[in-house]
Amino acid sequence: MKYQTVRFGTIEVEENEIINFPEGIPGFQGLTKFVMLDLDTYKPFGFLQSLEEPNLTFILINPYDHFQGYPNAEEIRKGFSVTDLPFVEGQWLIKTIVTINSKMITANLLAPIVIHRETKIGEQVILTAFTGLHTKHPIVPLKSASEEAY
Amino acid sequence: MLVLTRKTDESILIGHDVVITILEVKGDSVKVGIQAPKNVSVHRREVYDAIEEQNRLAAADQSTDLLSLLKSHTDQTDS
Repeated sequence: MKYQTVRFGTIEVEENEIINFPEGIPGFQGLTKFVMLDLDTYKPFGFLQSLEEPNLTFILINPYDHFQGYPNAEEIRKGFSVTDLPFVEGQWLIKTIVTINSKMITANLLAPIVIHRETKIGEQVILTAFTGLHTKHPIVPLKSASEEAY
Repeated sequence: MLVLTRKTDESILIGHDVVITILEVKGDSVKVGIQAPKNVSVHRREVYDAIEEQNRLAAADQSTDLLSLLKSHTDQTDS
């Protein structure tokens, strides 16, 4: 099915690619249907695009490529409240939302986007159990997953 | 807003499954115990507000220049 987006024009999305956020995302509670877009041009950044609000695009990054010691999927999954699905290695996708302006890029490590791959159910999980996490962690330096660390 | 006054060890029931109990009152501080099912998340208000605020900032300035901004950051790191 085709969807309109401001940044990516018209996109074609299969039913089984749609990610459902039953409780929406804080600040955007009424919006529940999203799709993940990964375009090579913008690597290592990916996008969470709303299918209901063409202008709503969140920029995502894989926190494990940029931040040592970030809680693992099993620990994060404990805060996932919208379903009771058990933890199975590899089933949980963890991404963090990025805020960007002309000066810097920061990641919200306090509240990652968590998606269960098989059922395509998503939630923004707030990690209050972990110390040292907040909403504006600078991403420096930027590197894609395929590059080695210095 | 519904306003109730409770003493230490007294409780409030929200819906059928959420119980708030006043555990201790010390000066300005109130220790509150919360029992809720796993599908109900519980957060300090200011933490939730900070997430909302950051989400809005992340989604804001959504002019079509956002992608070229991103591209210029990724281009810099390729060098």
